[in-house]
Amino acid sequence: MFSFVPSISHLVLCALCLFSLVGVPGVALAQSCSLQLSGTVASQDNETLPAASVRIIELNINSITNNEGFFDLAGLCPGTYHVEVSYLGFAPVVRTVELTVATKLTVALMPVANALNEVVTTGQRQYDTPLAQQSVLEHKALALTRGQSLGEALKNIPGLSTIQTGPSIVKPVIHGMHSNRVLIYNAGVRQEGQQWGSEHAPEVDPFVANRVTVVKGAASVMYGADAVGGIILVEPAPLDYRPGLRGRVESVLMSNNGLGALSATAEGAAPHGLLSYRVQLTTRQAANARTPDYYLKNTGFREYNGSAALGFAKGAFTTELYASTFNTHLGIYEGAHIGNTTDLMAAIERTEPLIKGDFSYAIGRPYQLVGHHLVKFKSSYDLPRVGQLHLQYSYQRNDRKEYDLVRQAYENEYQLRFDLTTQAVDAYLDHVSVGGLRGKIGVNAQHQQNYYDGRYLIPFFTSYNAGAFATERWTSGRLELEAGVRYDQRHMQARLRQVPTDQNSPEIRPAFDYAQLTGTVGAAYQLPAGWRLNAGAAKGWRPPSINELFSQGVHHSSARYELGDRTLGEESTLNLYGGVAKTGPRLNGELSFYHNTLDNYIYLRPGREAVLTVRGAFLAYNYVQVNAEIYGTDASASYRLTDWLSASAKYSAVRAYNRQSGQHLELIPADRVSGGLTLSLPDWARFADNTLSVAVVHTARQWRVRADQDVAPPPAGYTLCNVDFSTEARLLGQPMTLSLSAYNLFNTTYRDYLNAFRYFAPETGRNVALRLAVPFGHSSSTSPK
Amino acid sequence: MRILPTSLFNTCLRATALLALGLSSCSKDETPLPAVRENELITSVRLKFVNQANPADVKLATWKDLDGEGGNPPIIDAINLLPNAVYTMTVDAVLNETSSKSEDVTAEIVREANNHLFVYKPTGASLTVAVTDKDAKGLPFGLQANATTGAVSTGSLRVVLRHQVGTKDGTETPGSTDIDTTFPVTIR
Repeated sequence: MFSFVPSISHLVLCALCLFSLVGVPGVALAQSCSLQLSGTVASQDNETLPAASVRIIELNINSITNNEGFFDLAGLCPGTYHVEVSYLGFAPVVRTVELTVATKLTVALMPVANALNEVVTTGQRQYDTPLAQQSVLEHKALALTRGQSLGEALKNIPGLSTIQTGPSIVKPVIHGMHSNRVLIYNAGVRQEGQQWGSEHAPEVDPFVANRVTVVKGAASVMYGADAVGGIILVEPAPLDYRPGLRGRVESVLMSNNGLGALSATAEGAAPHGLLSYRVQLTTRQAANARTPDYYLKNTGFREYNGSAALGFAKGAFTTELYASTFNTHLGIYEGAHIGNTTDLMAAIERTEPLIKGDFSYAIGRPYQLVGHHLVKFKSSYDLPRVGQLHLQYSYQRNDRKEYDLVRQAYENEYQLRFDLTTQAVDAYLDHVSVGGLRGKIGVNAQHQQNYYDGRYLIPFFTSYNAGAFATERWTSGRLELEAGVRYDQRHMQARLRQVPTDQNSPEIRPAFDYAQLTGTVGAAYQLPAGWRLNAGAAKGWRPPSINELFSQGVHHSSARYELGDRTLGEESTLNLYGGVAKTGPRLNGELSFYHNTLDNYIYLRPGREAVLTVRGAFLAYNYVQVNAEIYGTDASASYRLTDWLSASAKYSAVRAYNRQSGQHLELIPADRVSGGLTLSLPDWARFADNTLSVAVVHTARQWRVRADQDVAPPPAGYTLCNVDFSTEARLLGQPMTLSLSAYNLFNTTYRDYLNAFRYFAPETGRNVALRLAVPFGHSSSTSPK
Repeated sequence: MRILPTSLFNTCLRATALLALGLSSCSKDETPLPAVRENELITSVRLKFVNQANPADVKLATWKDLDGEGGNPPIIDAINLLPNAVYTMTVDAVLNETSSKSEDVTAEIVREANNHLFVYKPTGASLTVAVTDKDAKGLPFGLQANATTGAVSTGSLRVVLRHQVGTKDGTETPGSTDIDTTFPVTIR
């Protein structure tokens, strides 16, 4: 057996070292609480809003705007606060403010009827993310995705779709790109699993998030290599330093697969307000999923997750220790277990699978056992007149075991195991405004070590990454300009046998070096009446991933023999984007366009030759590089017809070509269009904020696929109807949120082109979800210190 | 895009990364590579034909792919049989020869006869194959069969092993494929 290098004691040592380096001087240099937060509140149409309420959630202190819509809160300690701004008839807005110096805030509110269930805010001026196209999922919209996987939760956002392996393995796709090309930041740490695999779902518990931000388009300057398609930021709420104990219990029940999810969060702070903590536990359990006609055998899962955070804040210094664990036992549809190309063709020809399941929570082979464990330590320190200095160390370990359906299936023996350990250090300075210029300058370093055991798929490897970046934003009146530059280098060494399947083959250690300079420019201009224009260009890059270089072997369930290529070079993209957004009392919406020029785009080219094995023939698929282009459009609009009724529509289209051959690329999402109505129902008894929404989503057939790009023609287009009803009920003195949703209301039978198991079985049928969120505890209100 | 001399930059890069990441990377990683474990890989299938009229007339034919999937193509023997004869055909050996000592998988298949079925598909040649053995549940198994030849001809024999856990019903349809090999056949 192999040993895993870093031990717990190692970790603790690392954490202690960092703490002693950063922590002690920070404590010594405390700062007094005399900061001021002021600003103005207006409607989206620039109408001033007098008597709007402005509340700092952490401190529970309030202010009211004056006749000019101006507010002023003084005597504040430095720190990160959530400022809630509300006004009757308008949707409340929560802004995160990192208070280091006296700060001015300008808040624009949106009338209530426009704040649709799907809070997809675009062009939101978030200083923390680039000026690129982005969408945010939070509040009610996020609550209505509870119990779903991260991929499913995001697929209602225009431009996003999912790539699936059966009903339970779902990965997010941004503008036709996924896996290696989409980075996920979980609680501020770049998620490092075996994300190259299309059947390796993100090891993230969406219950930790109180907001999910999606940056659509290349963002390598801010986030480093691999951010070719986009970024998903899974963001927990900042720690709450209000004394007292409080929390929330969320539960979800789903009818289709008997899913039960339970997530509990408890948080609080010590009476003096210096220490804060949060503990969160989640479990999700599901039985076999059901198509309209039968159950899919072995598609259940069991998931156990948890996270804990401990924070300390004093004066200009804050520090936080965060740990999380994600553990899943994931069944893989048994009907997709096939032997060779003949089996695959036979499965495609059958309209119904031979193997059908029943309602059962049992999980047999094939299955995956995946654990992802993270420890993060971050500190920040306010340097007067310079800015805020941030330092973060993270350690994560991804342990993936795959259990195949094999003849010699000994009870607990896996056929394949990957063990990936990643350590990273990030340091940056968020500097104060210098002549209207604000920005971040930083460096980061990452070390990775990968092992495997069992069947060969990818080799051992060690990699080192280092990068340095600077991004700056200049704001003047209605105009915002952004520019950034970054340099990255990666060194990687693999260890494997020259012929990986031959025990006596000599060990080789090929090494690889990749480097790239990237840059970004962006601009946004605010027009009158809530119109806003934005445009920009961003570079992204990605070194080839380990499987693209080294994979060699049969990929079961797709009956293909995959072959990597060690001579592949880095892939780079130039992303151009532009769009217009409108916010107003009636009309809200966004229209955006993007164009990606991809050089040395790596993809798996479907085989033309068969590889003969003892199991029969397999089609050989090779990783190759071509020049490609991917472009498309996302549009969304909502219109308030009356006080109680709104209509909305969305459209997304992606086109992807091989620039050399002019042919379409495979596995690109089909066009999607949706329309919906949202009704705000009157309050009734103890039930307030009653909202009913109905959406019809049509996904077209992906006809841009040639016969030689797939073993079966793409499935037909389909139309689904989804309904959500949500309400807030005051019961037992607590405001409980209750919702009832139905997905695929009419139990339509359909197959999706981006599901790898489309050859074997249709998608799941009707699913009714009941969600209940109950807060508990209360905080003693404190006056500002 | 190469910006700096790579070797120099690498040294700096590695030094920085090591320093920044503490001691964890200092220990030189010499974890040995895991032993090659191709799960239930089958490299060789050998068929044995015994002429029922003349037990001294024994023919062996092997389908062999020692480096497993990919790599070098398999080496396939031809089956040479006499015309108008009846042979007792046995799947004589199913081997995994990737590890240093060859592993015989036949015993395991026999032990799990209830989950396995050999299927024989002659084409072209004047040859019929009839399975003669049964599993514990009375369903055909196919490790043994009678191969009956006709006139002088050439063609092929496809040997398929179906793995049918809990789904075996005597037909080829359920399950997945463990073996799918085709031998050339000459009857003369």
